[in-house]
Amino acid sequence: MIKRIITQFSLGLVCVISSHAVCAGKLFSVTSTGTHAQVEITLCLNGEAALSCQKYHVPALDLKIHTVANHSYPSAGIKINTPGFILTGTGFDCRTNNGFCLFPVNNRNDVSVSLTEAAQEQFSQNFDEVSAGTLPSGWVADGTGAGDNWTTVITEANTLPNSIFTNDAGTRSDRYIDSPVITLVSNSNQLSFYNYYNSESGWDGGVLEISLNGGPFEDILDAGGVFLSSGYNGTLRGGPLRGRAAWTGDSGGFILTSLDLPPNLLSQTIQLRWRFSSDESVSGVGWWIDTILLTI
Amino acid sequence: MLNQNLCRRVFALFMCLNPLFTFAGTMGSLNKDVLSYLPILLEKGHATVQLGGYWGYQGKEQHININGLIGDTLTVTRHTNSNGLVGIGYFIDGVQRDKYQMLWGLNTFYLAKTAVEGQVIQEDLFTNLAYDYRVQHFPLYAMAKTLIKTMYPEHTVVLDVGVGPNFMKTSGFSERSLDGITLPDHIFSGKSRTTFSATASAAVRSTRVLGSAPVEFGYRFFYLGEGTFNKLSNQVVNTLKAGNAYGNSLFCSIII
Repeated sequence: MIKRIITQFSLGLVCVISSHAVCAGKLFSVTSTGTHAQVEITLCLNGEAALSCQKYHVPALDLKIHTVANHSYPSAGIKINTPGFILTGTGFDCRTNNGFCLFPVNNRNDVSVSLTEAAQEQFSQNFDEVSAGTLPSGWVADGTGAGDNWTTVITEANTLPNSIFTNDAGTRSDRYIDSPVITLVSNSNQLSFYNYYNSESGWDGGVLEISLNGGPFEDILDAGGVFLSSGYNGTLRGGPLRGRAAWTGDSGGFILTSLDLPPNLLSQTIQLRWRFSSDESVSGVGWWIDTILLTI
Repeated sequence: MLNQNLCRRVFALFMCLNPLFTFAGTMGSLNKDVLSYLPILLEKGHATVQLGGYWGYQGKEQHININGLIGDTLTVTRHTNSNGLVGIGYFIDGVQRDKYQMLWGLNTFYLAKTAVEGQVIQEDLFTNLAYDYRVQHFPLYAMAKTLIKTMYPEHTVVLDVGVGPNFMKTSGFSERSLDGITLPDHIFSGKSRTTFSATASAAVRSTRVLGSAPVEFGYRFFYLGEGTFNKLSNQVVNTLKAGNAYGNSLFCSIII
């Protein structure tokens, strides 16, 4: 701390004495540790309007940042310029419309900033580019029983206007929707989607299945997938999927389900199937799916 | 009688410079009356065209407050800059005595753009940016001119003073990084403004340069007022001002 104050005082003194000389300097002190990477960031003393900004090249992903001037800055800004990296950590307000995340900083306490390599999008679908009642190209809906086929609707959506939906009929039904064939480019793949189910709890519900290289569909867990959040919450006691772990009951709205796909599928093709079944009696509302994202 | 005559001439001169004059032929009796003064104007007055160069002094050091920051101090490294000027005017004869003659008139000038340069001391600590901008002036003066006779009949001393509005415009505010890592803020843009302006000059009129056509050579001082800029960010508290501007010119006038 004393060293920092002496350094700052010296800088100021030199600049004051030689007030007519150019005395350029860095507004922030940035140190980096951890995983090596070459990342360019922009730091601004005022991030709301991107004022008093400087570019910094950091050689590692864990950063400690403080200001040089003896002042507290309530809305400093940080933006990552190098593609493929994202900001992680708490205490950042990223709701600006200029790409900066705001954070308070001063010259006395370091702010910790972690950069991580961002997931690269492999496949995505939010069903918003088609008219309600139709499916995007490559998506196929079919099944048996009294339930309606999966289709796009505007009744609920994570991203407006559409999601896909099938109803929970009061009679036996088995309805599914298949994604297009996707060729994987990594051995490590993550899938996420927004999931809103409202069905007869324990009797009607849905599952996620996968087909590898054109083979038969099997449950995502049986194929080696692992749920990371909001996985199956029960076991069905009736209907075509009797005895299977599934999403059943009422999620109360869209919840984010994420999972690791089965490992070691580089260059292989997959197809994903969302499958809903209902038993012979008691109807529910149905199952909505939206904002499907596959990343590596 | 003399004052009445003078008023009529000044009124005629004012209307002459009125843009509506161009369309007077299609207008009613009022402008026909105005046209009736034109012969007086032409007989008792003269036009003048001025050419020259001027050295402008402008720009001032100031602190710019920014929300949540200490702010920036904008210094000025180049107050003075030169460029050309042109002017046109029209004067009518006033009081005439043995030793001197008074003239009254309107004179407008265009003072071409001059540059102001400076540096930005961010947080009053680091000189990380340089900036520059341009200022141009278009003053219009109501003038009083005195011709003082000398012992040489072909040479006359000319003194004049004038006041009026200056239609000034700041433009081209730009910043550049001095250290390679600081990004320009671009927080100001140029603005047009009307300010109070005054001028005074001293010259020598000669009839030996261009035959019998009088030509004046002299020095003119301008006070041009203060320009200002628009803020481009609501995070900037106070805007940049160009400082009171002055001009010193050397000019040549041709009397028509």
